[in-house]
Amino acid sequence: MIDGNDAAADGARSKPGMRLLLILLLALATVPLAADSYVQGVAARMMIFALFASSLNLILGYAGLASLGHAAYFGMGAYAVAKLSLAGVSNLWWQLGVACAATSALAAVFGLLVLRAKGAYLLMITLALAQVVWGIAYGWRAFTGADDGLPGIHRPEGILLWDLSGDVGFYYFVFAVFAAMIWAIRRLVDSPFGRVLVGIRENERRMGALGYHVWSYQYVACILAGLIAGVAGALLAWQNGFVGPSYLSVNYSATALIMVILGGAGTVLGPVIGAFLIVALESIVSGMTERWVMVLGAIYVLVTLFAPDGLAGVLRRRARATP
Amino acid sequence: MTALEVTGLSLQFGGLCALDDLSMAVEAGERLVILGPNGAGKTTLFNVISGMQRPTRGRIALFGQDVTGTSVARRVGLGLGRTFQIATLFPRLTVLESAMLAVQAGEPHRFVMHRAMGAYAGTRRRAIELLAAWQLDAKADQETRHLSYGEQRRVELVLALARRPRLLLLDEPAAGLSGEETAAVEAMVRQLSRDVTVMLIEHDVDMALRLADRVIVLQQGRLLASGEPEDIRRDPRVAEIYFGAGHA
Repeated sequence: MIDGNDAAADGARSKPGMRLLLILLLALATVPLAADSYVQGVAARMMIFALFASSLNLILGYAGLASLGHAAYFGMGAYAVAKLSLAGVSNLWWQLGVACAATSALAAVFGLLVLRAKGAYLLMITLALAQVVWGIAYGWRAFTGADDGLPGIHRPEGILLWDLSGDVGFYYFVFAVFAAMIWAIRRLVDSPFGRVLVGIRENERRMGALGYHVWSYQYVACILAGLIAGVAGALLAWQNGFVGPSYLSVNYSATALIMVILGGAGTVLGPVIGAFLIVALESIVSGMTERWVMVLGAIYVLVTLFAPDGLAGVLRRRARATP
Repeated sequence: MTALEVTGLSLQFGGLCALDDLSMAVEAGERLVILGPNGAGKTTLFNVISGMQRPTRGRIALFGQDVTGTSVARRVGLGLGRTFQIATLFPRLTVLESAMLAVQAGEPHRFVMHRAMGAYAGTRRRAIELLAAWQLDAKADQETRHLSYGEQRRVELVLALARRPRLLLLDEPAAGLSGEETAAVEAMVRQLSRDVTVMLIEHDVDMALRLADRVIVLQQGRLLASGEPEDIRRDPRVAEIYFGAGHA
């Protein structure tokens, strides 16, 4: 028997994937040594969005639940951190803890509603719920600053000797969180829990008939995805020193969706690559034109037409074609 | 011991009565074949027994326990397994992974998040044994979608057997198969231990009657006839309804 790698529609176990990830991490670790602060900022943004996209990938790629409202959790994490920072809470763990608690609570509530729907209705209900959160942030000037957002967010106090206020120190913090979370996601998707999610994606009925409680798996996946998105949102709030309703917007949800699909849903590395490419492209294109969203739309159309299973799928086919 | 007892089972979809006051019992170890024209309520009966559809009225007892309102998972836990009329598999998972998922469904580590599924050697071993027992081990590392249709039907049966069901519902396991493949499926059913009670829906009447201890015939959600295979074959009502209705 050949060893089980053929099932690499879920490339977690593929060795080339692991090698690529390690090279990526090494490159990211050297960015502050080699590049100016602008590039460093872009690299941090790449990791933050990679985390955001990876969280969406957990439900989209592994559990097979599409969402057009994932920014709700991302924005929730960002606003939680912003409110605490502005209220004078400067402890990292407090800020992160509250952001995690708030986003998982939101995901726990939304999950109850969302999991009643399937297919296109799922997209609509996730979009609608996220728009509700966006509407609150946009309308409630006293609490969220409405369309002005919340400027003046300070990065939290450092951990022991690790100073987070400087750009380099903060960059390595983002790096550490990114690396740890991607590692955790890798573990998760290979675990019995993760494989059951894949089973549900592949055939919900069969999993039910085998005696799995399908709903609880999907529900827990929703909460985990919300939680990780919330962490990414918190990181972006610290990185930018600012939070606005755009963090909750359908624009962000759709961007995450495109990142996942471009890179390859249902693979650990795909959404990371997708996010890196999109963020890089965005920083190049927005220097030249105002029409970034149009470019993004064009990318989406091209990917769905020519590489429906993303870059990971293209690479996998290449790897199979060459003996 | 009675494996299954349904009493006064009805299921209505608007004006349509898919099951109409159906009562029947299946003894443990029995091979019961269910015949009936399309739309007679055979698959609906399986759906209701397995908990995928709720009956409008009536009671269902599995091995003496009332399970009428309970979840699918609970019934599986009591020993129920089933296959589907249309292949219900994991197309992009390998046969071995599919079998591991099926075995794992009954194990306590099915919620574990921090350890690789492959690290549970017992699950893996049981899955491999299961595949070997049904001559599918050569296909273990192939993705299910790349198997032939006949092989897929056998995988379907193997997945249903993974948790060692005591009552197995087989919904047209030989539908669409060639003669040779049908024989393979028939042999599999024959090989099952008598600890397993089997209810079988099958349109291949000859095969069905060869396997059956007893046959029931459904028509429009009602029990039309029940008896030994030979009696059913001779029953003029059955001949008229089932064989004479222009049904293949």
